[in-house]
Amino acid sequence: MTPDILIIAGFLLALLAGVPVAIALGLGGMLGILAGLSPDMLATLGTNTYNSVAKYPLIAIPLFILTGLIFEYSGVAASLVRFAQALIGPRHGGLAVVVVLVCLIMGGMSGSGPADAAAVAMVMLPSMKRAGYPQPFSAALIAASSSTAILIPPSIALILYSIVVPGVDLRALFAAGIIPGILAGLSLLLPAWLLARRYGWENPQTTERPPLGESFRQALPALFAPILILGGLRSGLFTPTEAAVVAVTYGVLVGTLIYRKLNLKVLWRLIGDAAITSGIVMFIIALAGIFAWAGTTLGTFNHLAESILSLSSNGWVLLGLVMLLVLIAGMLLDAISIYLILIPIVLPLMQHFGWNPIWFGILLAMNIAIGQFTPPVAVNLMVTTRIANIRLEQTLGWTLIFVASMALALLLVMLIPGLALWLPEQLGYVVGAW
Amino acid sequence: MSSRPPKARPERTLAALALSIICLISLGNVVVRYVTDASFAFTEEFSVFLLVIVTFAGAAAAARDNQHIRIELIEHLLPRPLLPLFYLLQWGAGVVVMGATVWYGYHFALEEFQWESLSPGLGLPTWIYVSWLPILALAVVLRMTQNLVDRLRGHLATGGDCHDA
Repeated sequence: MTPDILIIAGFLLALLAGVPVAIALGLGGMLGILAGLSPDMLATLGTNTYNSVAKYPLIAIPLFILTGLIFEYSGVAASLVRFAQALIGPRHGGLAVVVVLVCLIMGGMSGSGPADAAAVAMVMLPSMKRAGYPQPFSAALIAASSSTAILIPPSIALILYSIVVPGVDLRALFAAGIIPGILAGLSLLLPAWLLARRYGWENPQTTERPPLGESFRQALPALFAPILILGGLRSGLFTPTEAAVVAVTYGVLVGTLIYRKLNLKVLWRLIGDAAITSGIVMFIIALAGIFAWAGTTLGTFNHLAESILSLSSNGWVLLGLVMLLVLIAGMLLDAISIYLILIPIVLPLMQHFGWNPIWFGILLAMNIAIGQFTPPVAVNLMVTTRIANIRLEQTLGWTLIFVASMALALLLVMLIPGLALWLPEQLGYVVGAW
Repeated sequence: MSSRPPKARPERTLAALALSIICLISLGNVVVRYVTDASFAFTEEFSVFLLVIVTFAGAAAAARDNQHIRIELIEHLLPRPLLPLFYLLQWGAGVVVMGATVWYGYHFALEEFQWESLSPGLGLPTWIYVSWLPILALAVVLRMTQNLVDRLRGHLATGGDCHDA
C-alpha cells in the first residue's frame, strides 16, 4: 500500500466508523508519516498541533462564537422577529418572509448556522404553527435560512478559509459573502412566499401587527451589531480580531443594560459554553495541521489533484465535480471540517485553473450551506426538527424545494463571479484576477 | 450544548478562564491602541498561548460528553450488538492520536527546556507554554476513556438501546 492510499483510506475509514473528525485527520496523517516518511517525523505531533492553533488570526473564532451565544441569550431573535413582523405586516406568507430576514440578520452577528437555527426556531415555530403553517414546512425553512450564516460575515468558516488559503484577505472574503448570502436568502424567500400564498397559510385578518416604532426601538441594539462589525472592518477602525472583541463587549453591554438578560453568572456560563464549542472547532484545526503537513510532504494532495485532472481538462467539468463532492460532504459534516479536509486537496486544482480564491471560497461556503440542510444528515434540520418535535423525514418534500432553489443561486454565482467579487473590489480590497 | 450540569468542570473552568483573559487582553489592546497610539503587541504571544489552552481544555471537556464533531450515520445503522466494538474502535483511535500527542508534546517541551529557549515577545522560557500541550492532551485521553465507560455501561443497561450518552 502506498502512503497516499494509507493517508486517505485511513482517514476515510476512521471517519465513517464514527471517529471524531479531528482524530481521524490525525490518524490519517500518522499513517502517512509511518508509511512514507520516517517514524522520527511523528515528532510533528508535538510541534505541529501546538503551532496550528497558536495563530493570532484564530483568536477571532472563540470571540465570534461567544458573541453569537451572548446575542442569542439576550433574546435578540425575539426582538428582531417583532420588528420584521411590524415591517412586513400581516399577509399570506408574512411569517415565512420574517424567518428569512431574521436569519440573515442573525447571521450578521454570529458565525454559525445551527445556533441561529435553534434561536429562530424557538421563537418562530409556535407562532407559525398558530398561523397555520405546517410544522415540517416551518422547520425546513428555518433550517435552510439559518444555513446562510456561513456566508454572511462574520463567518467562522470564512475566517478559517482566509487563514488556510495563502493570499486571501479576510475583509475581502467577508465582503464577497454579502451579495451571495442575500441571494441565497432570496432564493428561499421566493418559494416560501409563493407556497404560503398558494396554500393560503396565515390569514391576514386574524394576525396582528406589532407597532412599528416601538418594535424598531427594541430591535435597534440588535440591528446595530452587524453594522458595528462590518462598518468597523470597512473603515479600517478594527482588524477582524479587534472587531470580534468589540462585538463581544457590545453584546455584553446590550445584554446587561438594554435587554437585561445577562448577569455575571450567566455570562460565565456562556463563556464556558463558548470555550467548549471553540475547543471542538479548534481541536479539528490542531490535528488538521498534521494531516495537511503529511499530505503535502508526501505529495499526496498533488497526486490526488493530478488524478482528478486526468479525469477531464475542462475547468467547468472539474468545478462541477468539486461542487458535487462538497455538497455530499456538506450533508455529512460541518463547514469547518470540510474546509480543513478539502482545501489542501482542491488548492492545486484552484491554482491550475486560475480560479479566483475568494470566489472559490464563497462557492464552497454556499455549497456547504446547502449541505447543512440536505437530508439524511443535516445539522440545521436536526436542530429545527427536534424543536418542532417532528421526524426529519417529514420535512423531505419541503427541504428538496429549498435545496433546489438555493442550488440555482449557487449556479448563478458560479456563472457570474462578479456577484461575489464586485462588492469587495468596490470597497477597495485586493481581490485578484477574475 | 446540554442543559445538564457540566461534567468536566476543571477543564471547562480552565478553558473559560483562558477565554475570559483573551477577551480582556484583546479589549485592552483596542483601548490602548486608540487612546495612546502605542502598540501592545507583546501581548500577542500570551493571547496565542491562551488560545492553545482554550483549544485543548475545551476539547477535553467536549470529549467527556462525546461532543466532538463526527459522522454518526453509520453507527446508527449498525446492529446493536456491534456497537461496543465501534465504541472501542473510536476510543482506540483517539488514544493512539492523543497518546502520541502526549508523548511528542512531552519531548517538545523537554527540548525547549534543555535548550533554554526563550519566547520572542516576552522573553519567557518557552517550555512554560509548551508543557500545557502534553498535560491537556492527557486530559483528553482520560475524558475519552470516561466517556467510553459511560457508553459501554449505557449499552449494557439499556440492552444497547442507547446511542450517545
